[in-house]
Amino acid sequence: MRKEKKDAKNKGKPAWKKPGFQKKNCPFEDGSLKVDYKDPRILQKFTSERGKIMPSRISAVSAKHQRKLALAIKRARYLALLPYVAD
Amino acid sequence: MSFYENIFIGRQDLSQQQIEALGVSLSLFVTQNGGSVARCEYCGLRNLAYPIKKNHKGHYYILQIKSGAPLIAELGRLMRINEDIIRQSIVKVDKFNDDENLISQAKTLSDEAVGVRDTGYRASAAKVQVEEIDGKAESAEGDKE
Repeated sequence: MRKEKKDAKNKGKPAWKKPGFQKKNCPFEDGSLKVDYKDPRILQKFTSERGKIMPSRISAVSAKHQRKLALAIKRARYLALLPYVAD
Repeated sequence: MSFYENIFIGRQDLSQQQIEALGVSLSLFVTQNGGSVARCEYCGLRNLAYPIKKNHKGHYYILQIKSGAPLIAELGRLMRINEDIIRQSIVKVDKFNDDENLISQAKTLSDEAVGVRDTGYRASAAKVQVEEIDGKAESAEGDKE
């Protein structure tokens, strides 16, 4: 009975507000990876198959690093290290 | 005085010697006009991700420069005039990194891409850490075999 009540309470809430939600860690936060526009191998992991920049809600990159990452990917595209459109 | 990182891509039909000569002449231009060059390095002939002016490959060359803004503007102008240079970018940086390979020397860009593309969006959603993504790609390849 009590459990049902709890479920009803959390109904319609976004996933991150529900109990048991675990925050993912940003891969750039611990310093092992660095955002660098000259390193297409790292940047490529944060782009989709199409070559689009992956949203941070999927890759769990922090907002601070997502801004840097997006800029780095755009610079790498200009230098033809990454494609604008991959098909 | 600020730190700048300059990368230019030379035409594919030039030889490595010609590109290196071009890089040296540009760094000479910088030093003669009051700037200093911390590093000038040839990064090899790489496949371009998309053709630029009908070139499918390009010679990458990096210059790390410490100078004032007017000299950088003039350097950019010179590079845009030069027809051997198909693309150039100058980026202001806080400090130079001392990594050995400035542009990571992946065997080829396409070889490297295969491992990542297999996993796609979904796998990376499940596994956050990039190392884990790598591991998954390998195991996925193993399954196929």
